[in-house]
Amino acid sequence: MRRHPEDEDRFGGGGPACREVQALLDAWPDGELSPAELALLERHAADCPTCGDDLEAARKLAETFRALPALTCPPAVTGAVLGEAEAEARRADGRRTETGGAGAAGRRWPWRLFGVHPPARRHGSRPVWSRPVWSRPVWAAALVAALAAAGALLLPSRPVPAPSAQEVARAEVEMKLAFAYLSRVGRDAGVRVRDEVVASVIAPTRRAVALGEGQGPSL
Amino acid sequence: MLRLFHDLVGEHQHRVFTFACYYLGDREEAEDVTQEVLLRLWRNIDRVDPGMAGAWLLKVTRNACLDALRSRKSRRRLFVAGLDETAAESADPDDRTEAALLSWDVQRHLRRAVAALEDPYRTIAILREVQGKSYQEIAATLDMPLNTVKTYLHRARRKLREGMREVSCHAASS
Repeated sequence: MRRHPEDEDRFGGGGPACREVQALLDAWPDGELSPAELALLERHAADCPTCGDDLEAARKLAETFRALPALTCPPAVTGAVLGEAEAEARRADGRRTETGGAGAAGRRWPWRLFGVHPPARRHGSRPVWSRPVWSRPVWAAALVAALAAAGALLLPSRPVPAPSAQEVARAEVEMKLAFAYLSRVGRDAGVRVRDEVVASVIAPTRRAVALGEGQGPSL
Repeated sequence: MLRLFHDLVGEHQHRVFTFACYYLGDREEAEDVTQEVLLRLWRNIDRVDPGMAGAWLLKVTRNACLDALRSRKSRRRLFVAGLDETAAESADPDDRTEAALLSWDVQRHLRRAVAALEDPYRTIAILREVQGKSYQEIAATLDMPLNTVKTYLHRARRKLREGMREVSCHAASS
């Protein structure tokens, strides 16, 4: 088996006995050596100065680790964490109970009534009923608008009644007055509306009324 | 959930803080990491199995420590002063004997030596030597074969022995 460079014997005399003892030395702090292995280690360490120093260093290292004082998390850190968690829990509870005492259960869509499963939501997203209060009127208005649009599309449109003869006569008088006024304005301004333009506007109206009611008023 | 979180924090806060302290060698950074890790536990409280919270916290703490190291401006900032103050606070104020002071100095060097180890030696040394985890626990937490954990720990111990040997030589010559 190829030895890792870091496992090369940097300590000890380098002989076979030293290499074997180094392996025992690595496991010595765990207290897993058999009595025979422990005796071999101590006997060799007594004869080999380098391995003896290594054993002494291993003893001091284990002793220093045991003497290290226990560290405790500062109360300010724990307090800050628990405070933040409690605040987040209160905010979450507030959102759930804002629409009435039923809490989250009272605002769930009745999926079971429709025999379907609620839609899967992305990790971290919140269901509609738990969203902030300000978004509910927006949702309601959007729903009403959608229903109105659907109604407009689906309900049959009622025919617009044709204007009566009196309405057409009144409209013609208004148009004449408007044209007279414009003519006066035009004369004062030095412009005039040609007769064929006026006729092109009036004639279609007369024809439409004549088709609907037989006789239309004369101009 | 809040009660469960309280219980888990009470059980694991010191362990998380200790690991971060020894890993980073900086008390202030360790406090920040501890706070971040425990808040992350709260935000994942419904996904973490309470029985596996220790292993989960260790992984998250180690990753948070690695992130903290990456964000450091200098590559190797062995800023152990804060950690030494922590240890000094917990020492007996009435014990000012030479042996006590020497012991405190040796501990300071050991902490520096641990913080100077490269990963995964550093992680395994902290888990085994400081927090007393078994090889099986370490192997399960780090998702490593048992023999690999042992090999890495043995290498870590050799490096630490070498580092402490230099301290002993320096103390003997002074």
